[in-house]
Amino acid sequence: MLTLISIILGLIPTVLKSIPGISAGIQQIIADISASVAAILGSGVITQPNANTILSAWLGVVTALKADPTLPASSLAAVAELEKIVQAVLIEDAALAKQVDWSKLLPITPVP
Amino acid sequence: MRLKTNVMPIFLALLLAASCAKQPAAAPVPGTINTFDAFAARTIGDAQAALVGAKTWELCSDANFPPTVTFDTYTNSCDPTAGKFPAVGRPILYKAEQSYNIALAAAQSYHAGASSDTAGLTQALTTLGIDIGTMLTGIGKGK
Repeated sequence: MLTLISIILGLIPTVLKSIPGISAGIQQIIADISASVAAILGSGVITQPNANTILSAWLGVVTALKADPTLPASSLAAVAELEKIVQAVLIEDAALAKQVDWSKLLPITPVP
Repeated sequence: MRLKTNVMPIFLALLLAASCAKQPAAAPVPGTINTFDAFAARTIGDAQAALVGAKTWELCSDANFPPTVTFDTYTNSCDPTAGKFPAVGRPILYKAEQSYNIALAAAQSYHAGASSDTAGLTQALTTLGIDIGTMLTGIGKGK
């Protein structure tokens, strides 16, 4: 069953492609991974190993982007934070796939 | 036009999610009453993790990156290399938090047997998915 983690994994390339100044080589890698990810998500069967593999692929791209000194630091910092958040979601998703503890699902106080 | 461009991948992903959610699950998840309950809990738990991460970043940024920040039941470490929380992220984080609380309440009610409104819960989860996707896309772009 496809969950929010799958949606999030599918959105990562949208964020990566928005970084100005990405080289043609990295853009091609993003396109290639996007095609593979779309095929996995389109199959309707996403497993935890699949999710981890997809995230690993995107983390590889992020690592490559971090090594490029010509890219804007603010964009890379934001992508790095996004990477941390997605990793946290993936860990939570793996736990929830095995067992749900409703006492840990708590309201969050919205602050405008 | 720009809004449509930004939101389109989220809608496509949600359409995909909706189509896949109709497929039978392999086995019930402990702590849930059925596969829909499990789907709701998993969506909400994933959203909670995303919101806690984003809110931690926002509060750390606002306080100029102290060692930790505390909100609700959480005390989380700040990463001084994170950079300023994107201004565009504030209203969409707020909206996602509101959607999360609505979906959580609906899911808890369904799980407890107090409600059988699957359509309402589905709508709440869909809205939550859109808002989480919008939030992550927005803050990930760092503007």
